[in-house]
Amino acid sequence: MSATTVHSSTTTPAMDKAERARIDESTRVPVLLFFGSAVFWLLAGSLFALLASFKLNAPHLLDQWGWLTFGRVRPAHLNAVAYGWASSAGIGVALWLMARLCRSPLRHSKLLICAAIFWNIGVLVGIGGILSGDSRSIEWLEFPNYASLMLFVAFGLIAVWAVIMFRFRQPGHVYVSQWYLLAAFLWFPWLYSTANILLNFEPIQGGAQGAVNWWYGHNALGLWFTPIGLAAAYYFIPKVLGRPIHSYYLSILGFWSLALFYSWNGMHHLIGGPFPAWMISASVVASMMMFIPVITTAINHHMTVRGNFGALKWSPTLRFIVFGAMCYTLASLQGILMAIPSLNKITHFTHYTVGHAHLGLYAFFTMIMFGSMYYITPRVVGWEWPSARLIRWHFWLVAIGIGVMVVALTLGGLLQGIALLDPGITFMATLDYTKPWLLLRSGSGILLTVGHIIFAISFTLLLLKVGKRRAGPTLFGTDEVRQPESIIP
Amino acid sequence: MNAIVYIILAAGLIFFSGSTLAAFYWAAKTGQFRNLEDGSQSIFDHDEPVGTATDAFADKTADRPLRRGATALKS
Amino acid sequence: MSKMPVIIFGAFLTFLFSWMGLVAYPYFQLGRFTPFVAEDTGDISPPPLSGMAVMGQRVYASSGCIYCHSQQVRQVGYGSDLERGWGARPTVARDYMRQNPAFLGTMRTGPDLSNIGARQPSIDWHHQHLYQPAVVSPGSIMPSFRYLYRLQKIEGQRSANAIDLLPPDAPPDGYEVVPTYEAEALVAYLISLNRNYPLPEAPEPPQ
Repeated sequence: MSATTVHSSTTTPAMDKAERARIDESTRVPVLLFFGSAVFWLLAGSLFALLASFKLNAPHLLDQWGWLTFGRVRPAHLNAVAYGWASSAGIGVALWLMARLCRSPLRHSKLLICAAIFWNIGVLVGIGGILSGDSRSIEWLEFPNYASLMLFVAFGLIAVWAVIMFRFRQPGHVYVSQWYLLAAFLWFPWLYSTANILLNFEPIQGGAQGAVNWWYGHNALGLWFTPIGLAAAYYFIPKVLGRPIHSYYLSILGFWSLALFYSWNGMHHLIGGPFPAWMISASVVASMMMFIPVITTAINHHMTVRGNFGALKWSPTLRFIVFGAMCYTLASLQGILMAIPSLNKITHFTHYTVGHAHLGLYAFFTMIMFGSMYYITPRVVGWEWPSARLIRWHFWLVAIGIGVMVVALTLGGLLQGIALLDPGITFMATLDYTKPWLLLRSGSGILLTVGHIIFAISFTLLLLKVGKRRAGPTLFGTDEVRQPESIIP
Repeated sequence: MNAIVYIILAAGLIFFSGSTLAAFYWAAKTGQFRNLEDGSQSIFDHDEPVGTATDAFADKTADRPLRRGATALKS
Repeated sequence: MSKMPVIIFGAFLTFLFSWMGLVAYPYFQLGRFTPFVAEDTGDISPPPLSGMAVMGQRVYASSGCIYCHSQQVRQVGYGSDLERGWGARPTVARDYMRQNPAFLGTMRTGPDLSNIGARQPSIDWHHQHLYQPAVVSPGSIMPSFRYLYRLQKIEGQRSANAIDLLPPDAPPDGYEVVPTYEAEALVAYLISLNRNYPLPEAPEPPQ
């Protein structure tokens, strides 16, 4: 049996188009549930972010209320954007990709609807818990147990669904994106449950908690968000352009080398801390080895797009996704550098790290999610995006916003770090170095939030099917094939 | 209480490693690692073949002509 | 192509090893400490916390102090923690054995607090600083934790635990600011933060 047959020569374009539309339509309810929740949490997370950022500029802001103190709003922001926005969007994208890649309509959507409900209740209750003082105060795992349990149930349902879906897929090749998605769906519940058990449900002694905390934290980035983001990039870049991935072998190599090295990276968050030297050294070495999957992926994406960068002018999806893919490379290379102990001495404990986190989770992952949602949503709803202008505004506001934010936090963090290293500079003076950059960061936050509001408006208008009717669900514009630029094969 | 931690960790470990091994064995057996070039084409079909773009801004100029010097589509 | 299965098998093994190295091993090596008991004095290190300080840990967690403050004094060569007077010696894993969760922290928007109880042993200073940090430490961007305190009318005599505040937060005549139980617990915890006790695995570095 060949694993390579794609579509038999007995299907016609019309049959393929109808089949694709059928698959897309079957994903509608779960995908829109997850996308809708994602947009809601994006807005909520943006508001928490603005509040937290403003509070660093003006500490007296709303300080009479305990539930809004910085120490609660900041984790509320992190959890809202990580578990509320990013994970929901990621799951929605993953579901649609799974259906397309299995070449089979989505089955057992009730499992997913249940999962979406549990997920949202879990996040809502978790954030409420944080604001009311029940935060566990462990970064990335702040949700009190009553909330994390619900997330785990939801994850479990999704993982079960993914296995069933895969089992009943059309025979044939398993595309690289599906490797990434299945791995993410299986890795993450295991990560989440292990970390929660050892830190929140049956906590181990304090001396060991840091290692487990950052084994989880870093793996959540690298084995949950990164695979979903890369799965989307590996699908949409070739799909939009109509060009296969440059080197398919490299893409599979990239996947397995990610799995190989990523999971040892966690301790680079604790360089210089109270842990055995070998643990930290192993993480530094593993961080260096990340060059392999990162460069592999960068080469692959670049060679696939090469010669067709003009496509970024007419494809909203490609614009966001190429931006995101480039920032994946940037963020990863930056992360590798940050793991070098002599550089880590400067950047540890500073805003530089916060800038890096946003380069990864926003400039890479969130931008790829935006691009994916711009492709998927019209095909699932059967209606086109009502306004190209709104899309363009969205793109430029968030691209400039994240650019300014990362630059501000990087420069501010570097100045802060260099000052902290010099005991002759008082601590208060190190703080003074950061203040103008934190102000700039607040400004960038406003740009981002406006961009998100515009995206939410676009999304809502699309759901409401506003505007004049355009072509069917699988192509923008008219039914004829449009080619504003030639595609170099 | 410690016993429960050990049991859960061991069970998780066995499940995780078992499923990874199974996945790898299955992939090798069904030939997932052969003929990779064809695999990269698996996301295309007759309606959205190689050479066709599948996304664009839905602008006022919905029927924009091809740019000057653009070559024809490959089939 | 035949190298692929080898790569995958290697990937799986290494992932397994990471779990063992960063999860299982730390549990066995760093998660089962017993306190060190000095032979001559019988001192227990790290010392057990008072009941109020244990409650104070919960307030510390609930208020999110870790998002601005670290609690780890780094080793010689990793920054200027010791030169800044943040501790007499680097902190080691056993120092955190009584902490749940461990408040290592990842940001220094505020100074490291591992030994804040040694640097600021005064309860009054802590209450005042929590209420009006920007006045006590000019230039600080720490928010006020005034929500942990109560403004109340003085009845008869001023309360024993009423705190002194500088303008502009000083209470008007006839009123006093009194800490809630949570504020007192938090301060008890902060005062307890003193890791200058000696441990065999953490000798004081030469000056």
